[in-house]
Amino acid sequence: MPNYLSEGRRSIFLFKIPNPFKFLGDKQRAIGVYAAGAFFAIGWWAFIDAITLASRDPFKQVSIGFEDWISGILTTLGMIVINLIDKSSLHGDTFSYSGDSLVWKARLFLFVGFALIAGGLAGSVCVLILKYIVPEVPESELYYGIGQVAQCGFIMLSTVILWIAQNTQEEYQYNFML
Amino acid sequence: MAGLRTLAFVLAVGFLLVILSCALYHNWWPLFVVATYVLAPLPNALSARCAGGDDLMSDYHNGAVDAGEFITGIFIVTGFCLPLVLAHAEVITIPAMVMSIIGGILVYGTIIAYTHFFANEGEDF
Repeated sequence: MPNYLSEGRRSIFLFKIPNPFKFLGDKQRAIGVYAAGAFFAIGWWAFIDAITLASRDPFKQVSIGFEDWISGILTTLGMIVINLIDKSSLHGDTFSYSGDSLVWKARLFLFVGFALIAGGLAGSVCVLILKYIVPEVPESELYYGIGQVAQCGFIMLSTVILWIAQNTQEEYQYNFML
Repeated sequence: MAGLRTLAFVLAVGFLLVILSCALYHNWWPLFVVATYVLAPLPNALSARCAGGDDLMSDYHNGAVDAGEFITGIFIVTGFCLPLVLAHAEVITIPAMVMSIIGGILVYGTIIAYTHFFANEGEDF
């Protein structure tokens, strides 16, 4: 017996999990988007804080190189890729004359976006371990590595919150698409 | 009317705190947060204007409104993070950072209070 939510949408879970943020009411999408923007900014400012400290320390052992920047850039690129996808083309709801060739393309881009984000996060942890933990740099310089891991973590959190806020469309809200 | 005057006073005190945090320590770096205060409501207002929602649904959300709110969120957090980063790097002192952040809270609180309580008072229908 398929699991039907309202509006006839099928749920993929066996148990219907209620939306935990319903108490915010009709403002939840706006609050989610603001929170996503806030976490994105916190992530990048954590990284800027780390490299500012690094640039003001002339006696440090490690030097900030391109490998510190690349994981943040990849994660941000993944976030941009994910948010440029038209959400309705993932369900196959839109009527198209050329059949349903758009659905798998949209899902492919979604996969690429998630792969970029996960790759950025994994790469940042990699850089932390190989560049900062293994050579046993002093505590104050370990912060540079932690800063870039925190950057990727916060950007990923921001992407997740943005996705949830945009996709848990309340059933009573109608979207008139022009 | 008394509420509006209190709000304007609080806004002025907020800006005063930020300017004091620069002037008392002869370090004018925190003045950049004033730029973020001015810029912060702009993307929100612009995208809400361009989104094309009509009077039936004042809460119309599409991609443009989301983008505007996202960028506004970035500016708001930048207004708080810039003094933090500057103080952590010891470019400005900790009291200057505290004054900047309190000024920021006052200014943003004023903007939010205004848009919630006073922006719709002119409508009589």
